[in-house]
Amino acid sequence: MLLFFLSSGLFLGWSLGANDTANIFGAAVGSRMVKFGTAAIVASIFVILGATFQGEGGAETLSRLGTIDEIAGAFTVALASALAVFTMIRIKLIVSTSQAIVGAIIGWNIYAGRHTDVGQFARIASSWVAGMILGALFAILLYYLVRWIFDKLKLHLIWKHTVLKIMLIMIGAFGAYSLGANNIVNVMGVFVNSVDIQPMSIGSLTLSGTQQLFFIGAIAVSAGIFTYSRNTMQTVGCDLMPLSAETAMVVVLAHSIVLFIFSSKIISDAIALTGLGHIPQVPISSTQVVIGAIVGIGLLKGGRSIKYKVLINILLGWIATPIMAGIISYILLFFVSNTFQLPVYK
Amino acid sequence: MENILKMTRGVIRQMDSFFDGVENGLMLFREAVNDYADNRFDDFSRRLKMIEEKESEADHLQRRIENDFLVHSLLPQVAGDVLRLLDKTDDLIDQSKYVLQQFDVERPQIHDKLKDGLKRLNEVSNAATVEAIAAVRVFFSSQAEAKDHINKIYFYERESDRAANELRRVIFQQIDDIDLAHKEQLRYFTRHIEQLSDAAEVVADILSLLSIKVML
Repeated sequence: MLLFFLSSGLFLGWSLGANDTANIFGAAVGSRMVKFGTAAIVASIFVILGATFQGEGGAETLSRLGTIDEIAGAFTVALASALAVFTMIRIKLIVSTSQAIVGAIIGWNIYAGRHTDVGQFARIASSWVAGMILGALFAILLYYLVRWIFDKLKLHLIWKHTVLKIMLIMIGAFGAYSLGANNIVNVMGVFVNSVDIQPMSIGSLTLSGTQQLFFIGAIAVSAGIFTYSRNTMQTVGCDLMPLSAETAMVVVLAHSIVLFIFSSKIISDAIALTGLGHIPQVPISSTQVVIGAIVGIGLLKGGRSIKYKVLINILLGWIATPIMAGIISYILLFFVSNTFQLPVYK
Repeated sequence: MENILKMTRGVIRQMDSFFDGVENGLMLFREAVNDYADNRFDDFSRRLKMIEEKESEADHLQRRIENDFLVHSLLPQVAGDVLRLLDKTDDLIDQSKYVLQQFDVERPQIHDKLKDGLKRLNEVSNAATVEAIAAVRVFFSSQAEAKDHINKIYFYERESDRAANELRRVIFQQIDDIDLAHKEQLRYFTRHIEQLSDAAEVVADILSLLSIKVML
């Protein structure tokens, strides 16, 4: 029965693996710099590591927004999130599970009569904007840095190809780790307070219940990578980033750094020490950060190639996705609790 | 990791050997034409044999490089252009060998009034091809430096046209003691040598395009 209730989250995980790994390895695989098999293995290993060992921070943030305490409720919220994403994709809006899950949790708050911390919501929503802006800034800085390094090194083109190939795999690994760390909470975060899993020890390593839950979610992400991401890497990846290998490397690295920042407690604490305040550990959209990075490089090159329609599309998604997910969540919770007589909150 | 580094070193070594071979062939060509113009036919034959060997080695290396590019998906975004560049670079030695073989087969008699002109044409046309090799070689490390060589290729190609026209003018307007068939034959040889600089120009055109693609 537990597995049934987790299925909506596992589906979200599969979808994350199928779609979002294209942001990391799409350009590398689409341009044949890296073989799909290599990309899939590297992405799977590092997504699992990131999700299991650095995914918990985002879960705390989402819990502060809404503590879903019944598994049927968590199942319904995850399902609502998946349906909202599916619907928004059908109407061709660039959406993110990160935004859908927040809306679905607020829908649950309203249904269960719980208070929604508006300040917390504002912090989460502002991180979506900040993620894109940081993506653009990091891309600009890294672009200059990479260009400067390659200009100084004057590598033979074949050596440059080899260096880029190795870097694309290494940065891809970092990107997959950051994706797992930052986005696993979209997949399994809503189950954290409703599923009681005892800590498990393997030798000197002890995994908490949340880590085990995230590990299961990461396996679903990995399944998505192996079963469905080949097409998205070869098509969506190329459409989104018809870039040179050098630029693609910069975009993926900027994306990975941003996702890592928004999922690392150490970085958050370090920045707090400087007096700039805490960076919230919150799931942000991988696709939108990548678009931010591409826009950054576009601006650097004069801004003529930027498709402003895409940016408006994202802006609409920021508003419409949480609202849509909240409404679907409310309706489904009503349906599940009244039709199946399942408790969706305590 | 070790394999990919080894493969990279191997491909670069093969490319260097390929360029060395073509360059040596082109230098042999220049000397062989001068030998022929100065009636040193034994030296000419020896150099022809050497260029045939160099051309065969270059073909072999080119096939291996092509194979490595395809098997290892090297420079996937510009691989087609790079392979075309190598193919056109190989054409330089192919054509040089062909011209020398035609000298060997037809044994045209070079009139004394034509010797200096022929050497001048040989010099500028050959200079265009040697610059082409230098441009291709440096292109793989510095696209900006390749531009200097590309400019020189265009310069020598124009000089080659001028030298060839001058030579043909002498053949048809200033020499009366050979028949028209002989003049026609000599005209074809001026064209053969001139075409080497045209082949170098093709390499320059590809390089110009590739430089833009690589720097994008």
